[in-house]
Amino acid sequence: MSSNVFSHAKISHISAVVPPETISIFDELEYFGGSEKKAKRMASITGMENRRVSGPGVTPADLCQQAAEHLFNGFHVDTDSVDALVFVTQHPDHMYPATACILQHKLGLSQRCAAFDVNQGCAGYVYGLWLAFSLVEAGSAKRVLLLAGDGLAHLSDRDNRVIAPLFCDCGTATLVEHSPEESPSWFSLGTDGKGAELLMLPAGGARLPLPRTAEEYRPYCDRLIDRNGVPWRLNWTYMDGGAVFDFTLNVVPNHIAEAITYAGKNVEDLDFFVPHQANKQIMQTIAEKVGFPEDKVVMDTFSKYGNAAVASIPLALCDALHGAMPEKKLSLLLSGYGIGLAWGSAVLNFDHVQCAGVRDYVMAKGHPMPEDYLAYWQQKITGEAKE
Amino acid sequence: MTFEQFLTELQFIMQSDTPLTADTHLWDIEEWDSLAIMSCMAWFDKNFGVKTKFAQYSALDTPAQVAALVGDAIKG
Repeated sequence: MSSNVFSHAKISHISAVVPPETISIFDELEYFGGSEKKAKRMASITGMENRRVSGPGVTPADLCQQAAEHLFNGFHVDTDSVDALVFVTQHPDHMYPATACILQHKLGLSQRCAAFDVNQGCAGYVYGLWLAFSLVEAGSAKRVLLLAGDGLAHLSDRDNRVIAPLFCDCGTATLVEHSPEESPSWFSLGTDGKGAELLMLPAGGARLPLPRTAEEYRPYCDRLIDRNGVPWRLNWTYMDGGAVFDFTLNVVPNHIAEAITYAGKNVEDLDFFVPHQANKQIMQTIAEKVGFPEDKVVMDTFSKYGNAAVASIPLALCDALHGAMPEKKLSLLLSGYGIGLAWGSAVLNFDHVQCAGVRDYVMAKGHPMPEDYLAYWQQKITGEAKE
Repeated sequence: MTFEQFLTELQFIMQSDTPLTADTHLWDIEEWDSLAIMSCMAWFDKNFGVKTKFAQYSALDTPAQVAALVGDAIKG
């Protein structure tokens, strides 16, 4: 396990943006045989209720861009002061270049700003913070803009009830900067690639590359039905939910207990535990095993917005603690765990962190739809306008 | 824990209206699903200190077989 302690880096600002469109499982009773009772059972056990889902043409980068703009405009942060931009996502705008480069331009950041993407999922926010704190602590950057956003809500069939009701779309922005005063923070990270196939988007990378013809592409789009009748496609998210639960029950609580010990703390020293908002059942199980009382665990964000994957921890912070963060000095434990398999925990001081809360995404006039973008590229290459 | 108490608790975590006996075919009950199995795993881990794997449950058909996962902790 990689463990680090930093002393002169801190989070100064944070914000989250979600799509305004909400889908409730109670709007989807056709997947519960028309039974509201069955939907209520699902909601009671897992906490699944509402999820925010982007409309066409809105990407995680768009949501993150707006979250960053809320910080820059709302708190008068000088864009020239950002030395590095880290975009953590599983759903970049393009295979390449790094979406962080595109966001550097859209946000009007300096050309002296380093910008790069990190491909991580549910542990990705802690990984991104670890990177940002490392850059600041080493003196490589005085201020880092960490954007964490994901868009898994569309990457399954609606009747895949393992994936579809779970994930939402969200973009977040966090500023990490040099702290003149000592501000200790502790990070612990881990990986077990043996479990890589438990959560995966199989096609579209170099192993199952984008085919040259529609004929070759068809197997990627075919619905493959598993033994439980759940439909999957190779170009969308695959998850072995039972095996992932094994991981969260058998690996994650021990990791979190070790991270608390590494920080020299105990549960009583921490104001709140902010776990990845996987689902209520998983969060409750982990919190109970580690010994957190329920009133110290931020858990309700999942039911309000869904599982935002890489963005779930900052979304939970902005949702549950937006009032407390600017007012107080808080000692928080953040823990992410999931795809990779990867996990990470951080014990941090949140010292009067400025928070813009959770805001709905507002689409700008003229925002390109996918068909506009397709026509743009066809015209760009051929030089001819498409009818 | 007595076996009767186990049956009551299992029915509760399944959130099912169907009464259970030692030989009930669990897979015939709609509420014996992945959610119930995960709740059962968490319960066994927390209350009996027994770690089980999700895949183990596919081979089990009755409450008696499920109870056997935690050995002597459930009596009767």
